[in-house]
Amino acid sequence: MLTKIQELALIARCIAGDDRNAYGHLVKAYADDIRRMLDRLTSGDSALVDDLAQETFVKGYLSLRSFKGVSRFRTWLFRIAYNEFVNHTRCSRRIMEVGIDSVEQVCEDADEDESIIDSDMLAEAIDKLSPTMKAVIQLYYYEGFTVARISTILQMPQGTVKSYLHRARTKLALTLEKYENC
Amino acid sequence: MGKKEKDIDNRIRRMIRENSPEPSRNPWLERKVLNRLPPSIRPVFGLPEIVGMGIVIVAIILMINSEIQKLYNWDSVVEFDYSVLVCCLLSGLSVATYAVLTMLKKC
Repeated sequence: MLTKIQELALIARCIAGDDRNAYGHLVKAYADDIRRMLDRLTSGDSALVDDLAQETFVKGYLSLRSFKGVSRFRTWLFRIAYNEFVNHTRCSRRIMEVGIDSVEQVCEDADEDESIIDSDMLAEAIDKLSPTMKAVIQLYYYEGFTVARISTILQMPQGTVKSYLHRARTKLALTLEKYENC
Repeated sequence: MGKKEKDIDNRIRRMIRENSPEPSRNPWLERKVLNRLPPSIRPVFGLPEIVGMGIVIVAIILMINSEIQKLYNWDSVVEFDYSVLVCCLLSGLSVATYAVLTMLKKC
């Protein structure tokens, strides 16, 4: 990952001299992170992940002048990526607002005798969650963003992010218990 | 956040990271993104060109001003030299021609 100074230097080169090489370095640095988040949100649709990732970076370039440098460029890109995903789901399909209770349901459907939860079941359980909940879980537990950064990315108050995390923590604790016991 | 919550968070984090396969890399993403960007907008004149033309224009102005001062100063009117003004005029025309041709070429 680039340091903040490296990011700002590359962005300055892009803005001042339309330096495409500099933007290429930024794309290379953050492509994996953006694709990973989009992969979770789209439940592994690789074609859609690539399309949304391209849209994210193209829009990022076109709006570079509006990047104020207060947050990290990586945070800003995640925000664009999430907005692209939301726009896509609004246009193409209904968003299934399934609550986190589905995590418990999947666990209950598992073999009661063994109380095992494997990675497929965990992935399936998380896949059934709403896009917002998936995004919060991915950004907090996998990418390691703070609550403040997540609220910037998802454009929601920090209290709402904490509320999502609290619900996720409460329900995933059950999944965690079964996972660690297997 | 309490210690218990932190502990649960760390365990959930480990569980999710252990069970989240990385998506396959796309080596063409960078190239595809750069190909989709709008055409490059480069300034007509680079910094060295602007500085060079600026120096020439300032020199021309100073030289013309110096010659005109000589013309109006009876003590040094004999030092007035038309060739200096001609050189200044030709230099100015050269700079103007270069600037116009460069702009026309870039268009």
